[in-house]
Amino acid sequence: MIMALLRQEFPGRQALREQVSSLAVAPIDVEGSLRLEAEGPRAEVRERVPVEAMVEDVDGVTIHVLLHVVDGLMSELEIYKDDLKAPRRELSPDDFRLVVF
Amino acid sequence: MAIRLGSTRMLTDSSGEVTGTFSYTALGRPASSTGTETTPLGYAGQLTNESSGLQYLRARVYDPGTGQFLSRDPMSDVTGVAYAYAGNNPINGYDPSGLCNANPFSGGFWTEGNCISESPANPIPYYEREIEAWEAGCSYWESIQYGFKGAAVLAADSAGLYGVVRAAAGRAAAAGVDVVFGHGSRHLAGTGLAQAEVEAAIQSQVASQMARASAAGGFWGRVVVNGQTISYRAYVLPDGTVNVGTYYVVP
Repeated sequence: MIMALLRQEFPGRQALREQVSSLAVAPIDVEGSLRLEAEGPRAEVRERVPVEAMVEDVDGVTIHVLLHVVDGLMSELEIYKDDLKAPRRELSPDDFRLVVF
Repeated sequence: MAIRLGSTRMLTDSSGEVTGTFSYTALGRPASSTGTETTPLGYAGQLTNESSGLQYLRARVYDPGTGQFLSRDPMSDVTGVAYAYAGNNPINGYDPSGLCNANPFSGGFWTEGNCISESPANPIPYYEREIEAWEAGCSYWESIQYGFKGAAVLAADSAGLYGVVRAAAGRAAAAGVDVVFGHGSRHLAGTGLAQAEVEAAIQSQVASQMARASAAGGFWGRVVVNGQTISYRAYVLPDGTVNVGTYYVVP
């Protein structure tokens, strides 16, 4: 899923791709968000959330997937739904609409 | 149908026919079920992720498989319990907020009144936790401990923030806007900002936008708190409730 977020070009993308192989992850909420611990080259991103994916749940409400980067390292993959309910569908990266910042 | 600790034990259709039954282990893990009907409200009546089994208990996420929270109790120095659920006594207690052991069979559960929360000298984070614990059904004693902790740090933190936050929250309430927050507070770690002051600022701005009838569907915004810019994502539900899905400090 993270690689899918990194498929579109934005500042710092290459360094983030290099961090992926060292990632340690842990669940932090019921929506599926993950705490990320990464090592590798620091990414010079412009925003804390340099890229976001959006996809519609089965009820039409949008699910957001945000990649958080703190001090150049990936720190969280945040997942939430606009109505704050738990997503009901499996997230398929093929359906993602990406927004880069 | 929910009994005892509020766990969903049975589902029926409109005619009263049973369409599903559920049982749980002492720690809340599903033990057995019948029928095809399911509900996201499982053990202790709390929101449960169908695939992971994790329970969202507002302040923290609980894993019924291990009987442990995934994160440390932010007040563990007061409670003396860092990760255990319901004081390691889930037979008689439960924890709807992730911040307390609520025992509906204790006398304290039904106690009325809360004098500490009315003190204007209470530092905000502890005040908020005290209120949340009380409203979530914690006993009087469990709730008031947060107030005691707040009183202890008061000497080092008396910047008058209480009045600022109360005023902002009051403006939002006056505008009649119901604002619900999602994950944002966990993004404040290391920023020195308090959840209560940030959410009050967001709430105030959201109320202002809603009052001008300029907000509908999803929108983003930014507020500045103590010199730090916070970006937030909001979404207006059909009933007018505004969900702030997330917020984070902009570097």
